[in-house]
Amino acid sequence: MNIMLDYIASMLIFGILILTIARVQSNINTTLYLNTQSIITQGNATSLARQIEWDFLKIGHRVPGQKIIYADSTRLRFRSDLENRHFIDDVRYRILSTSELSATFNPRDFPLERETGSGTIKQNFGLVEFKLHYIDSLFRPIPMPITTESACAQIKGIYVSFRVEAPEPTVTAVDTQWAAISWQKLLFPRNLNSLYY
Amino acid sequence: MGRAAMFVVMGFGLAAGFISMNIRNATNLLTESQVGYYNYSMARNLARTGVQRSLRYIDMNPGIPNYTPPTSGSFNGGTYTTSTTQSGDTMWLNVNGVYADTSYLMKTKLLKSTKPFPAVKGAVSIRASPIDINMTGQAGVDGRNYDSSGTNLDSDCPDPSFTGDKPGFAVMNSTDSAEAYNASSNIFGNPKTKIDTTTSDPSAFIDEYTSNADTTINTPGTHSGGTYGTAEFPKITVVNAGEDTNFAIKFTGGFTGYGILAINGNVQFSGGIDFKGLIVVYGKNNVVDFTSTGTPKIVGGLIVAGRAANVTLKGTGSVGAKIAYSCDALFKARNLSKLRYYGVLEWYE
Amino acid sequence: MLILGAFVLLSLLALSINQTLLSTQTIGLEMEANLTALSIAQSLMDEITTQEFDERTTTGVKIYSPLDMTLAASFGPLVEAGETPITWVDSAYYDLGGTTKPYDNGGILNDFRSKAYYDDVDDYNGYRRKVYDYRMGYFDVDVIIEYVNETTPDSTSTDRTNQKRVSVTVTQFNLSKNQAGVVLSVVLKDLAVYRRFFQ
Repeated sequence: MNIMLDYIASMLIFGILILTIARVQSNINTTLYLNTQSIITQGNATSLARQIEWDFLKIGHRVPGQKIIYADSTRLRFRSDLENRHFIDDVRYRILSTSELSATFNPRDFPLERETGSGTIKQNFGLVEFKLHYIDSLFRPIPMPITTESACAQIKGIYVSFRVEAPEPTVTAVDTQWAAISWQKLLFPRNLNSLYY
Repeated sequence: MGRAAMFVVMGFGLAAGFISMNIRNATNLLTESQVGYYNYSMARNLARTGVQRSLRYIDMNPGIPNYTPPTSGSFNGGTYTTSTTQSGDTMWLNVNGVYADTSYLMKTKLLKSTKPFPAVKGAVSIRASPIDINMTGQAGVDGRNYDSSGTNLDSDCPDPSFTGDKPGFAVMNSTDSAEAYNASSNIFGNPKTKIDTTTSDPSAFIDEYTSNADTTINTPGTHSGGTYGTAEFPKITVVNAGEDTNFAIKFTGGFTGYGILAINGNVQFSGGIDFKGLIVVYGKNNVVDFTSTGTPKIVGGLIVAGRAANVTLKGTGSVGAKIAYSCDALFKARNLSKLRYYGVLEWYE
Repeated sequence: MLILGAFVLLSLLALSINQTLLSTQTIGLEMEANLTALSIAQSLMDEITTQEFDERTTTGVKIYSPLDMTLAASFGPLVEAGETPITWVDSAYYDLGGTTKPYDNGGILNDFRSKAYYDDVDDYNGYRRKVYDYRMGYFDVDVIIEYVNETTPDSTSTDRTNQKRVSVTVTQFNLSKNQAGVVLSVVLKDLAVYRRFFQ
């Protein structure tokens, strides 16, 4: 009898131990997963930020005529000698539909399309929000869409804001989390302003 | 059971330790990524700072031909290096900003441009009224275009805005035109006198000349003459006798020069003057006297402004004092080194 | 006894692992906050450096001597010049038909007042701004403008010079902290340089 009680007690205690270990392991897994998604998301955000800065700060470089062709809250078309090779590129940025990224688990994300003379690429940064606003030399917002040459010539600054989310959620026992990051910046392409600042 | 439990826990500890290491490594990667972006932003700011400071150094050394700014600098915990290439009036200035292990390159193309220069409308352009012109002896005013020596008539000029001969006198109204016309028979030009109210107000340019003057003479009294600039190195000279015409600056010796001469107040060149370039008389009460033996000669242009203009030209020689318009002499004055600056033509980053 | 030992070992392991997990998540959030703070600081820095160098030059007047520039003690918007000082903490918000919200929900944007009121670099001296981020909340931004020595721009100058240093500091409780737990603000510095002729 006593031996039976010993066995039952030790099994109970062992069971509690195993359950505890399993719980801790579950937490580790969740954190590892969330951490991985966070790294991917922040890496995507940083890459997109640097790409946008690299492109937008060159708007109008060596362009003698109209520098910005079209601008609205999700699209921008401009001309620039991007590579500094005396070759004027026609660059277009626009967002595509969420249906174009059906491969991810995130129903809200959409690709960003970047078109230059070298070709068109659809980039998956995990964007769920992407907005552009434009200001003139007195920092006043310019109503969109901006289509005429004279209106495009007023653009001196571009306010870029976006939000990037992970392609997959982290499902825990209590909720579903999406790793995300927001970014916003006001850019002043030199070739739209005086070249002195 | 106890042993099994220990083994299970130790096994779990090993696995958890391994996973924790991975998590820590991943976090380090994340940190590096964000720090990298921070370094990139700092490097960009440094590069921009380097461009601005280099341009400022160039501005501070206008008299040094082919001046190149310092090749490096530091600011806010980072450094920048500059490299320059020059070809004629074009300079390529590249600045590389470095912060921690990140660098950012900015490339600029600069073009040497000329600061604004007053528009000369005649051999003597007067932006004042009424005027009092005194010309005696063989003194003459000639608006026809001469070469920079003032010896030969010239039909051409390196200034692309050259439009040909100018009037002898450009004045503000018909009364002044008649005063000038009747001052002497030795007035030549196309035409001899003309009403032209577009003569530049020299006050817009005087600050530039006084701040960049190579020589400033502002002590009333008698001065010997001197040489103020050469054909190869024209200079900016300011002679400031002040607003009180009781005080005068009088040059008893020969006054020779090239470039720009700015005059304010009561100034007499009794020892003769031989100046090639632009003379601007800018004060409120101006009495300028080019009276001497010999042949005082001004080749280029004379602009007189103020409340009233009193100009005396006198020469006892066979030729007499002479003011001759010369687009070439004005062009050389306009392009003296202190009146040039590097403007940014392109900025690539 | 061994089971007890196993429990003790497990407890220690769990504590250690939880500490790692917590610090990892903290670092992740701090990095996100740092990225946002940096972008906010750079945006304001670019806004400031595009402005005129000095109040005297806003009307196209050229300055030939640093003695003609604004005294450091007089930095800030000049009421005498018709400028409107921003004595409050500047913040952008959306007007949603009578209510104000910090985020966009189809309302009318009321942008930062500095863009409308300020027209030269030293107007921003002492300027304070609150910037809202959808995930992180409000970030506090402060600006200091100082004259600096032209040959050693890391040193401030009591005299007026052709160079002003712009320091933008962004603070938020989610930013990285030092070992003592003090928030490490994101600080950007840059120079505004005066040139009479640029282009």
